[in-house]
Amino acid sequence: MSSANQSSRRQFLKLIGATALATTGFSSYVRAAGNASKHVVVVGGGVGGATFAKYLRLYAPDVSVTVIEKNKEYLRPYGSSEVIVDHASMKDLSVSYDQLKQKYGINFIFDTATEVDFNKQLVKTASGQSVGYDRLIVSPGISFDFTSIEGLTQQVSDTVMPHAWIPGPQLELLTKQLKTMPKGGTVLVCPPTNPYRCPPGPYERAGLITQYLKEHNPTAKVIVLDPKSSFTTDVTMLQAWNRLYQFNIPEDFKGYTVEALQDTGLTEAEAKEQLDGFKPIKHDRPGQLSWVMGSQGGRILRVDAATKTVYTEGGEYKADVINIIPPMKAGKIAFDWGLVDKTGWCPVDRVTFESSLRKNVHVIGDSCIADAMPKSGYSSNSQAKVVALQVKALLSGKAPQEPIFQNTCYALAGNKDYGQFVSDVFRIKDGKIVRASNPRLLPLNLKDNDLRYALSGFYTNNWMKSFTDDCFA
Amino acid sequence: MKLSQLVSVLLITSPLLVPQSEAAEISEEMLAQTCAGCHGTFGKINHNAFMPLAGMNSLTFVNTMNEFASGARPGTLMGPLAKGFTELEIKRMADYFAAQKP
Repeated sequence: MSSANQSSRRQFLKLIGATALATTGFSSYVRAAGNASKHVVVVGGGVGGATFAKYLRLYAPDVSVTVIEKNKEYLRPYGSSEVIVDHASMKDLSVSYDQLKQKYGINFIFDTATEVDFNKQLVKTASGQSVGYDRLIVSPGISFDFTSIEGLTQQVSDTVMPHAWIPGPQLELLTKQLKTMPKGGTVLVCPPTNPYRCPPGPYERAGLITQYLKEHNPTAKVIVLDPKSSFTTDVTMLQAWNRLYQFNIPEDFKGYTVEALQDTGLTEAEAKEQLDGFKPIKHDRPGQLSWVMGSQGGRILRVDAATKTVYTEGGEYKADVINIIPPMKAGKIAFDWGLVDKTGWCPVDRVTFESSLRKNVHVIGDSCIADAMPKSGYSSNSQAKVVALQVKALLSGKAPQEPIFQNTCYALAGNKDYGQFVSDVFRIKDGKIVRASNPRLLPLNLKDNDLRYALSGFYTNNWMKSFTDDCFA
Repeated sequence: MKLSQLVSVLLITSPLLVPQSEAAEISEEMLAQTCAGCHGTFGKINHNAFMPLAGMNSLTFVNTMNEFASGARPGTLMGPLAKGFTELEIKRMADYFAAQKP
């Protein structure tokens, strides 16, 4: 044990001892501390932070772990759009930290982390606690950039045009707006520019809302106003909408070409075969859902909250429900602590996720720059496990190992029986995280009643439980 | 056919093989953690649609992954994912999960 570690250990026990004694799980903590010399602090108890804490305790039981998290319960964002259409309730999204405390002996401080002293390796909280660390894991999720759309502010977002991208009051507001909109009204779903949390998510949400309106408000319209002209899973999502909702695929959509499909991991021959097996339907009477791509002027320039109007490069849209998901950046604390570069995200070493800007600090989850890995719950979970293994090695003076990551984004096209996904294995190549170049989507040349759509929907639903357990139980 | 023979056949026939030195640096835990986001921590899962992997016979695991990768076994996303690992990595994952208590 180094003297620096001894001192941070002593400081930690002195400073948080009284609080920690009162919390469940401290007995395991003391046991662990008796054998160990190392203490890891995690800031943020979302998917990344929780998974990291659990897996470090599993991989390295002699290392003690403290999570600093402001909320006593977690509301899971993955699957949260289902609340809008009554597939799930806010209560279904709620996840307890009890198992992490009781089963794994993880110490929790329910408080806001405010300051950090990188030299003394200390984190301070709003209520004045100081916690020393040997390694610090920062997993702060996302924050929103309201500056790029004129007229859109935090207040407008909270009261009129909710993003509802983090479950909470805005999700409840959006749900209420949809339920109380007039017959034949208009809903705008407005995805952000890249990169953002949960790439298929805005489109899944548009599909879910369309399905809901098809059943409850069949003359209403859903318009996706998009700054982009492509998105993850676009080829399978648009195919599903074409089948389910009389959705016409925009003529200038470039996804159904051999070259574009080769980018999704197909060989030229596979791409040709899939394209031959899928002929989009041209609907003379288009349905309730449409997509205004970036190339068609879908990018929002300005909003007027008072008249509920959205002005895009291509036109003007007055609507009853306006779901604007603003561009995103790293979580606030990453900015406060100087962990962010000019991109608005956190640069890290791709093998250990140690910050490129601060020693002994690792940034995981949505806030970090992870190249080909999407900002998703699964990515955060996968990074957390990799970093738990690397931190275990680093704490005992060993070299980190070659990482392997995985991601799966499940998404529903609109109803529960039509699921899809994007699925990848990632490795390091030339210092960057790259996809293994394999097919990552369901094939396009499946019949619309293929069992794989229903199975993907079924797995989507089951994954909510298995994934939550892997992170939190 | 003995498992070791099977594995050597697969190693020879696999077009996906990366140099063994690269794979050898990766621990079993690193390989196996990739499955846990759906199949449960250490492959342990109950009352769910996903197949428990903990305690699965090693040969069953290897055969199933190879069948997913070749397309012989129909599936949703396991085909793409199984192709993302080398035969040696699949064998090491198989041994890891076989050693886990269900």
